[in-house]
Amino acid sequence: MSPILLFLEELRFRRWSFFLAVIAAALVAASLLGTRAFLAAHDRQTEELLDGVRERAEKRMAGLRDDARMFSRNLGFNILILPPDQDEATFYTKNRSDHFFTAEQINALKRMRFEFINHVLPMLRDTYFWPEYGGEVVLVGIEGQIFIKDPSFQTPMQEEIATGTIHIGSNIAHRLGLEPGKVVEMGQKKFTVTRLLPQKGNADDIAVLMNLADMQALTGKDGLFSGLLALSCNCQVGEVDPIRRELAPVLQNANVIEFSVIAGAREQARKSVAARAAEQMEDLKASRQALRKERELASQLLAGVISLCSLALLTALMFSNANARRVEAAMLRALGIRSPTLFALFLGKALLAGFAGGIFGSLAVFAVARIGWGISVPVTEVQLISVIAAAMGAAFIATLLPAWQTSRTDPAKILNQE
Amino acid sequence: MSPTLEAKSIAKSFPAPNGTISVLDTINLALAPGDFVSIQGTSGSGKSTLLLILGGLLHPEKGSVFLCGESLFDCSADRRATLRARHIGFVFQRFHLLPYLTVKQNILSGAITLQTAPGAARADELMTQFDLVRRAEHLPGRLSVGEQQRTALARALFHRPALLLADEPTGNLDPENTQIVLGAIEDFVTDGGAAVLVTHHPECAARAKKRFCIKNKNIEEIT
Ligand SMILES: Nc1ncnc2c1ncn2[C@@H]1O[C@H](COP(=O)(O)OP(=O)(O)O)[C@@H](O)[C@H]1O
Ligand SMILES: [Mg+2]
Repeated sequence: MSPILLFLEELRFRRWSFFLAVIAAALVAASLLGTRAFLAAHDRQTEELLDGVRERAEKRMAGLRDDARMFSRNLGFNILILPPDQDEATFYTKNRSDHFFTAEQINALKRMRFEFINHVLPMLRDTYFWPEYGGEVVLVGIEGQIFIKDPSFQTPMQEEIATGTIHIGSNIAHRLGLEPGKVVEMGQKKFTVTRLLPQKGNADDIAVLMNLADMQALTGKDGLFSGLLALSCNCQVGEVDPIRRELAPVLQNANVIEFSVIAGAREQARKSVAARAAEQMEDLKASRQALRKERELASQLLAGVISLCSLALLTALMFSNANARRVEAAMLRALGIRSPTLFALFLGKALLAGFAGGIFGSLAVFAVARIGWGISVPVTEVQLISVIAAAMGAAFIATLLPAWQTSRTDPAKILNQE
Repeated sequence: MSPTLEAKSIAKSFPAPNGTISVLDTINLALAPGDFVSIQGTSGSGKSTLLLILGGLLHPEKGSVFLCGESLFDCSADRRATLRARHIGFVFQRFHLLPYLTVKQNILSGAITLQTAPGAARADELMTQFDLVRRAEHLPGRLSVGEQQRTALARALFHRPALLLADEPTGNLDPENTQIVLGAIEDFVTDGGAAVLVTHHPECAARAKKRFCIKNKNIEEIT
């Protein structure tokens, strides 16, 4: 029979009160660690909310890009690609080219895949003196457009014009009293008007759109192209370099001109969505931070209250245990056990309860955090050890007084009284 | 032969609401191996107080107690605890068994602090002597009063003490168990032990070789 066996047998005999002490110590550990877990869950929730805002903003921006594309599609092409030597002044003022892309270049282009442009429309532009009109008109010859990258834009922006038919600008229609179905003559060839173009207030109002082959025959510019019209994808304003690079293998040094009004509108819309999203995220962060502070305070308060209650429970348990063991302690003294040994027996039991409680409480928090909240508690080894030490400390403090009293009580008094 | 126990001029008083009350005054008592002494007295006369002083559990105000030649109150508490554990066996009216130890463990606990303790065979021998073999693995809560006192007596005798101090050990017992306990004390004395039996039953006291009575703070031999 050794004091250790005595200790263990006593533990087994009063296992329920020991179990209660373990629970009380576990509450101390759980309330301390639980605060950390709770805040981690909060942070995790904040991240999820922010992710949600970010995701929604991205979706909105994607939607906006689509909107912008539809919008710019309605406005028409936003990129003009001219041969490198073509003087822009001539092209704009005279409405015709003196430098051209070749049919080989255009054919090579047709075999390529593009990332940054859509709806590429090869065209030939020239002026033509039309006696019926009484002056020069602008001829635009187009072929069926090529390179439709984005499946959402499968419908061509510019339908093909059948040979022998023309679309005419509003000014020509007005001056010559033309309407769809009427037939006109240009260079001894008859053309049927199939469409009147809407009034634009620029050279398009005096334009005649026709099949490219018809125009090349009419102007004697067989196999030549003035340039390309295109719709850019997703480029930042002023960033035509990617397009230029993409075209380089076929159209070396092509002059890529952006219609900045359209691109600018797109860019601005995108920026404002991004700014609004950032603002929203800042607001969210601020309010979550405020909530976090509140929650931190509340959970710390709760942890404090729980710890104090557990300490009170522990103290009550330890006092009742000590009280139940008064006679026993006196008898052990009569059997020669010294007062410090007795004290150690009591404290040992408390420390064991605190240790077991610390482990169980921590495990419980880990389990709840993992299963309930799906997070792992952010805690270092040192912090974990401190939590267990706190549970042991609570049990130690709770036992100190009753253990001291009991081990100090005069055994003679008790053995004579009872 | 040197005495097992020698108490010289023991005096003890306790604090009371109005001053102190003196319980014992100039008590002298000596026991040699083989001595069996009974102490009688009215309730509150100081029998238990004297027994606890003899056992080194209570400090006398005056006087000294020698246990196997060593002064009990002129040494450290540790030394006193060691002397007590080695040389004395206690039996109380209320048994004071440890509730969480089995009968056998309780008996073994009689030598809990001793470096060289008798083995389990000694416990088995005592259990046979006190008819406790069937109860070896039972907790005290399940024993009859007689069985509890027999266990307590076995615990007190386990380490073969020189001195047995029994404070009304038969106070709660039926006649049969009373005989068993008194017989065991007589056997212990026959084997060379010294025993002090505190009782207020004259028949029990009569079993001792010497009978004393505490009266007016003093001890007198009854002849
Ligand atoms: N620890 C104590 N404090 C105060 N008085 C005590 C104490 N122990 C015993 N007494 C008193 O001393 C007297 C003797 O007590 P006790 O030795 O127990 O008597 P007995 O055992 O003969 O009945 C009683 O009056 C009792 O009240
Ligand atoms: Mg008494």
